[in-house]
Amino acid sequence: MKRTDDERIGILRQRCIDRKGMVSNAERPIRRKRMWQGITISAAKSLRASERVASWQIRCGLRTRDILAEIKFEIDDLELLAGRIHPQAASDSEFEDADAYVARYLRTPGQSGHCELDLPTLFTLGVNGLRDRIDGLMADADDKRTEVYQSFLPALDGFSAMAENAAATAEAGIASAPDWRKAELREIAESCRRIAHQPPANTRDAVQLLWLAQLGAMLGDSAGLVVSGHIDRTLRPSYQADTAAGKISREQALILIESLYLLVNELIADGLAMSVMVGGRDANGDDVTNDLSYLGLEALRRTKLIYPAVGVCWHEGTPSDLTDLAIELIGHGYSTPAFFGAETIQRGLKELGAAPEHACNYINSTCVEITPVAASNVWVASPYFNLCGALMEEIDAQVDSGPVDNFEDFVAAYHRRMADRIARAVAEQNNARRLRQRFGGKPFQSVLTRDCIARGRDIDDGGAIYNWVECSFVGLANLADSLLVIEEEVFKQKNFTLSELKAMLDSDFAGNEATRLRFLHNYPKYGNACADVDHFLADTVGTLVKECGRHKMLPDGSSFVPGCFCWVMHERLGRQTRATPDGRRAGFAFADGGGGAQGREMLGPTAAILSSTSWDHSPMIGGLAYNMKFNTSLFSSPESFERLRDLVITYLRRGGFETQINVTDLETLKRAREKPEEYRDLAVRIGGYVDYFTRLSPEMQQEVMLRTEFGRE
Amino acid sequence: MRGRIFDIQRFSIHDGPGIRTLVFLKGCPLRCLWCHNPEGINPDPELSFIPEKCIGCGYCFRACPRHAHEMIDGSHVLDRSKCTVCGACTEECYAGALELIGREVSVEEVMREVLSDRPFYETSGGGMTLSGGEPLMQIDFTEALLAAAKDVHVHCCVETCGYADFTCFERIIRYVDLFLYDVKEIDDDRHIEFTGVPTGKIIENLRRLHDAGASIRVRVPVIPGYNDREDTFRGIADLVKGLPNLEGVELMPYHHLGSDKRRRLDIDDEMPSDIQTPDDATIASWIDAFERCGVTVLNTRAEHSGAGARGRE
Repeated sequence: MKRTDDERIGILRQRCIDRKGMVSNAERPIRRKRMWQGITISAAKSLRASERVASWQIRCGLRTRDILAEIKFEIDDLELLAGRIHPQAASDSEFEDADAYVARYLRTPGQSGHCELDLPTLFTLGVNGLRDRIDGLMADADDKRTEVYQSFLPALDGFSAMAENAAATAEAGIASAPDWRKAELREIAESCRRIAHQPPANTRDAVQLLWLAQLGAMLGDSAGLVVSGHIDRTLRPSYQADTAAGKISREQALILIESLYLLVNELIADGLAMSVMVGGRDANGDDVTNDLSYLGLEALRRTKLIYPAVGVCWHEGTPSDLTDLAIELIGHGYSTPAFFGAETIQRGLKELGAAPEHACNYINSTCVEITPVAASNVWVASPYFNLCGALMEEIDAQVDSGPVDNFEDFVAAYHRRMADRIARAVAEQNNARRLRQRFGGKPFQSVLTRDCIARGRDIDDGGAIYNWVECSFVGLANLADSLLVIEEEVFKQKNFTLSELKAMLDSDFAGNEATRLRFLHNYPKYGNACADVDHFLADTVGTLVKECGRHKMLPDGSSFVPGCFCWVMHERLGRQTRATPDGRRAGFAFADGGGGAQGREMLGPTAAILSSTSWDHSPMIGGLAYNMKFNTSLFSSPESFERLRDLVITYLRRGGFETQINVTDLETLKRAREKPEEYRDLAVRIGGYVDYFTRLSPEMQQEVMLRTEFGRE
Repeated sequence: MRGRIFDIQRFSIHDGPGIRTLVFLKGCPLRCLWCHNPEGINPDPELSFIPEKCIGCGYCFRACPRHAHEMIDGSHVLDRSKCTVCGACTEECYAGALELIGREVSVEEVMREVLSDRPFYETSGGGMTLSGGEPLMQIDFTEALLAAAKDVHVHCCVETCGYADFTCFERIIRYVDLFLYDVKEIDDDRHIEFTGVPTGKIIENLRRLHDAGASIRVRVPVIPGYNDREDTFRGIADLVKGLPNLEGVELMPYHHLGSDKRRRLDIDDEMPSDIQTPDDATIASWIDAFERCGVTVLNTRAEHSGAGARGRE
């Protein structure tokens, strides 16, 4: 039966939820496990076959080719894009054998993926055009570059074969399909056949190619999380041509984008992140918003799953309709749209040396960490630093060696400790980079990352234009709140010695609840627009930025870039950390990103925003998330949506990096905890990413519930 | 110039245009049965006690010079007959169970907090709203606050019950961008029964304020079982129709927040316990009733659609 668009997306969405089995269904891990087992088996087979090839780089190209060529797809009776993986059955022994073989090759440490590929080049040249370009360069290349090109070409062959497989899957369904569906399947098959070699001929081709390219890098090169990115920029030429020729309606474009979003949810495991960005500016400073920007947000309505998170690159020239659409979705409980401050982020990117055309074209490459589009081998979240963990170590050290006698020296010692941690982390990351140069190899991702082709270098060997390593500092607010208590209680009022404080914290304030509450309530806390405590945050960030700036990363002397987003690490690191002087109990989650600690923003969202924008966000290109949580009851009138918009805009105008908003109510969250099966698709914003509430750990659920909820009556 | 307030509330979005900071002045001449800010009635400071927050640390026992706090059978009991509301206990109560409601503040202190949210007023067209209690009961302080705010071009609203000498209005009219003027009942007997004062002065002041050219939004708290009557609605409608320059009428449906606050302050005057918080349909029927009388109602009707239900546009 032919379905309306509403019905079609509704059914496909439900199938996606059922396949994932978010609560108790055990099928999800099996499907994913099978997919990766299949890839391991393909990789092992390929590497065995290439044992006599001397060049590791070329073997990587053959491996990527063979993995991609063996990817199989499924397509059901309603899907409009091909690209859902068919997990291939393999016996356990076959997999174990393959796994053992692959393990002989070094699994290199370090981050991968987390980027948006060079889609404009792919869309202009097509796979064949890329092949021609490589062939052309190979003519004059030295041996080393020739070897690299010899790895790139088979990777492209593998991609073509994968796209042909997708076409074949659609074709296979034609015979048994009802008439209305035959036409759709034929269109899908033709599209896949075309883009296997040629540039996209229309919008459908472009969306299909976008997804298969993501798959190519993620599966063929095992590059983690390659994002869909700026669909309103990459799909625009095709969409404009199609609309001008009257070949596509807005509705048809919408359902293609929805189909892309569903495929993302089908592939990516819960608890990670996948991003789309809309709006923003070009290198001339002109706004790029177009029809597709709106569709990128509209597509969230009917799909309403956790992926992708859609970020609006906001600047003063952003059309108010786009802002209002995102606000409307947020106010209605969609937690996926977020706002990024274009001005602030561009300033930070320029400071890092990004060229103007890259500083305006960046992606949150998956949570909130920023990387230039199409040109990045930027390792993100490498690593996460536990700021309060280091504070506790400093207290321990001073108690052992005899404490300093004034607060300034205490803070200076803490800063030295952090500087040392940073230096050690840089050494570790550089070590990983060295190993990656020798034993890495991601030929498909390299082909779609500038300037790997021009330089004749793999992305793991410095082929990309940008090779930063971005780190993240967790627990900023708890650190600031703690430093104020230490200053007052230990150094000014001298109510406790440092060792008495340590004893109290080590015992998690046992028998000292009134003191804990004094620490918690009697001193101003970050998040209430109080300079007495906010300045600690600015000072700390200043030091961390300076320390990061002293280091250079391999292979090209790139920057080590600070950030302060958390993903789930504020909960994880909090769980491992003793009680802290801010009155936080042992094991309790740290504050998330650039916001105040849970339940401490007593003066409402305006004061909280003033605190969070009291320091310069622009150096935090490694990512900064600022959470706001509002009670559903606040959104009872059109004016309340306007007020939320005013808050967001004021935050961004004051230099805010990113903000994300949960509109929910405690009662719903409580019910969801009691009856998870009824709330399996309840999505909430965590540290820069979106997740299903019911699959969070109990501790993380509590963290979300305890966040300050504004507008609660 | 100093005055007594009981709260400053930022990000207020229901009391005037834009994002606003509400300053609650303490003391009110009315005794509305349904008062939802009972801590604003008494002009003097009061001690609020929330026993559920007490952790039994005993610091307040030592702090209190009059021994008003006692532990009886394991629970903290406050003897208000001994309490002079000196606030010493609240200084030591880190658990937040004891709180002094009402503090003396200077115009400068209030303005410092009000002005810190200025970036939000600029984005949203908001400003400062004086509320209470009744701001006109501290007319000197109110006038000084408004003058200070206007001096730096902050949009000013005053929320008033209207029960004051008209000279009070005359002193502030030039500073106020919008009055939020309560009309609770039109019948004099019922008004006295509900609020303790007659309506005459309130309605007279409204007319004079209107004729003096002030911007006014009339606000009608609608209390089920009290003033949700056809004749009350018609009477208020007739009144406002005679005031052509009003910005309109805003209905303020009853909510029950006040009862909890009374308990914390041990206010024992009889609060009717049977008032139901109206549902959206009831509120809509009130809006209909006013509109049938030919009145512009400013309320927006509650949205019933949840997320996703709106479909695509």
